[in-house]
Amino acid sequence: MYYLQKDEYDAIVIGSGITGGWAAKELTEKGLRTLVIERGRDVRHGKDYVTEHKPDWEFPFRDSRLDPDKKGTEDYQVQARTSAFSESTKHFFAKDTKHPYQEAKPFTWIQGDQVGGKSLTWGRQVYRWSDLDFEANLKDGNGVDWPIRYADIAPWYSYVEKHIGVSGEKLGLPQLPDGEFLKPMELNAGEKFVKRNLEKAMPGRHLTIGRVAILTENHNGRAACHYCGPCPRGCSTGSYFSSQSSTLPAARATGRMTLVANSVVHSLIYDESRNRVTGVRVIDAETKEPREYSAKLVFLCASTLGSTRLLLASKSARFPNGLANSSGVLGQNLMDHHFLVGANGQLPDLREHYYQGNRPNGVYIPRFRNLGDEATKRTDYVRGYGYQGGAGRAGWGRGIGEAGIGVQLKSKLHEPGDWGFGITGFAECLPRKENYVELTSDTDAFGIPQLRVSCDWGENELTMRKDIAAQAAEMLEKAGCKNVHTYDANQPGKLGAEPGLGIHEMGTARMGRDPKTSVLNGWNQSHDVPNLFVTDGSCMSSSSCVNPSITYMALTARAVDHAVTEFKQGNI
Amino acid sequence: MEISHNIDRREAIRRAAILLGGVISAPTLAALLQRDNLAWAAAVGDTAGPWVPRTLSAAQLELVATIADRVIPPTDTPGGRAAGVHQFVDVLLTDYYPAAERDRFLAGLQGLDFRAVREHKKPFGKITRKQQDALLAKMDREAFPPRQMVADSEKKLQPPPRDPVVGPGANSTGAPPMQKPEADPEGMTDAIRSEMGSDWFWHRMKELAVVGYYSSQPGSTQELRVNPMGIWRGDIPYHRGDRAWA
Repeated sequence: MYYLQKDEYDAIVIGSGITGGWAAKELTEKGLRTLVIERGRDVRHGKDYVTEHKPDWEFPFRDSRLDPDKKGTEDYQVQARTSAFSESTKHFFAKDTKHPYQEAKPFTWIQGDQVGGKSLTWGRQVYRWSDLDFEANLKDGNGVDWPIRYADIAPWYSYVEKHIGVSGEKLGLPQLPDGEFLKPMELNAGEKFVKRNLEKAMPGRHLTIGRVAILTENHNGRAACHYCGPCPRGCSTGSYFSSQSSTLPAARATGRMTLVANSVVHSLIYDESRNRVTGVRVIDAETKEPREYSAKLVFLCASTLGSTRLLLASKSARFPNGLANSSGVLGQNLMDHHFLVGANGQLPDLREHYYQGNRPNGVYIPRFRNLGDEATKRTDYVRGYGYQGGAGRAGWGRGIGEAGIGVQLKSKLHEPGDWGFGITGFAECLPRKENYVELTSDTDAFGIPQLRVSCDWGENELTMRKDIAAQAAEMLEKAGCKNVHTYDANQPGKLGAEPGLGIHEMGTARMGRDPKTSVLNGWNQSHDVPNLFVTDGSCMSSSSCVNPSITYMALTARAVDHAVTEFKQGNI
Repeated sequence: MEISHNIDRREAIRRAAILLGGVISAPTLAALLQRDNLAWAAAVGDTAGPWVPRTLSAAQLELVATIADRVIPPTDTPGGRAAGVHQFVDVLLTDYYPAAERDRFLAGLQGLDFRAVREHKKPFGKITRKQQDALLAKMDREAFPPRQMVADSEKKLQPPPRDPVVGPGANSTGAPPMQKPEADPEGMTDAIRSEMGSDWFWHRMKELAVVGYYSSQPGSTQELRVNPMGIWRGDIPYHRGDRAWA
């Protein structure tokens, strides 16, 4: 391929993860010849899921979690902080030595480095936003007003859900709009017990099965889940959403997608005379040789911090502080969801009940605070939180931490233990300019300046955590749990429940109505440069408390629709 | 009625394929299984040849196997030794735990032998099974004192496991300080003495025995059952004596 130094495409998509895959599908299906550039290695659907279905005993450490102090994690000292990082998933995480960054305060940046990005390893929980979320900035004055409302995105949630397949239970709750659902997964016996008692004792509180991008019915050529358990190893039957299972095949089917892997975008090329991004500079991940590609339209989907980093690093005379950064707010208003605070307890009896199969999903308790009425209003914090968790019978692990050995131990562990139930809050974080990223003068192996991240939880988050723990305990007790214990893993200034660990990092290139205070308009389009669109988590102006990926997918599909209309009319 | 769930991975995938209405074709299924084997072997650097320990000496390996068989004895199903707990321990000591923890474990292992010598004049492997069980049971009770499950509303200070910050004899459970023998056994070091005054070794050894056993193939498939893939049932009858999911 020596002759194609400058390849001209209709569109370039930077990144092949949750949003990059969607941009690729939408652009190609609408007729644009599209180049997708992925910095990491190729991972082929099915073929490269090397640990799928492997039983525990075939792993040297029995599929243990790999903490940062364990041997073999030297290249993964940040990635090893998340419990998602284990023997069976390690190969779907970026090496921190290859993609380093700096922490002014503890911030855990979990990164993918392969085709599919974090869509291979994500948690698959999907919840729509409501106007409670879209209006929050306007109503309480934190951040800037979203330039869209639920009515703008609702059709795109439906569009995305219909393609990817989402299973869940309709609840009719205004703060958690229902989606286009396949049938919900069943609660287990313990969860049914808690749900029944909780909803009776505390009207207004709801417990439902998680809404997940996992199929409970065959859908669009992909098979229903077979309940083997660990989705993040990859799924050959395509039963959960990933770029590999869902969006890249659709893009490939058009014949208009070119996907290059091991290609690290170094910077975006900006033509000041036309005020357009004209292409990208790429460094080959293996040879470190530079290449360029050009296109008329660019979708930046390189992950929240990946995209903002590229914009900051793409300086020019017109944009000395980073491409598309006339506002100066690029890099500011970093958010994540805070979690790891809640309660656990034991369920009485139910010893004649068990379950079968490995359900890759838990329960969800939707937000019940600050819903806009007096009854749910808090005076000590704004915004809200939900809970995720579930019930189960104690397994053999209970033998580790208590007295008992020999035949007595073996007999005890032969049977399942008592039922337990636990929940952790997933909670909103306010947008604040004091939480930000900036470039340092250190570059990485590809010549791209490293980011330094400065982010911590504010008063609103910390106050909310107290309520999350207290409410968890109250709900568990009222639902009939015994021996209820609360916990909060957050340790200010240290690792424990630090920002980033939620792996819902968002913000830093926010959408807004005013080009002076935002980077993107209501179409995810740069206010400054009309042919540049940014649709991953960096675009978020506020964080809500719900898992964000389906919102990113919907925003991407909607943005492509607008961009292609403009493109075909010759406006960009 | 107990349904037999002694299925291995191949069978599990085969059953899943049937339940999915044949969505996975036979060649794909075969390729999946082969891919797993080949790719995994490549990933872990599978080499031919008999297994040899890389951290434990032959004597230490044997001692760990003996301990494993006392923690999880052979009954109508295999015990810790047959399940390869000792091999698992060696792999973790070599490839998983940081060096400082490996060294603590080895010191604690030696300390166990010295304790057996102190009580019975013979190393652990040479005392009777009854004496082994009694010694380990005593260590186990010391390391895991009974604790009430108290709710947050009634929280009392729980004694932490014994782990000396300063030298021998400093422990917090109120057990009498270790009696200094007339002469130290040959090979005694400060590190070993320190571990003998701590619960750390037994906490770790027990964890390794339980994890090593129940995540092993015999532990998961004979003593317990692998929770099969295929369908999800949230509420099925459980009868006393039905084996737990692994």
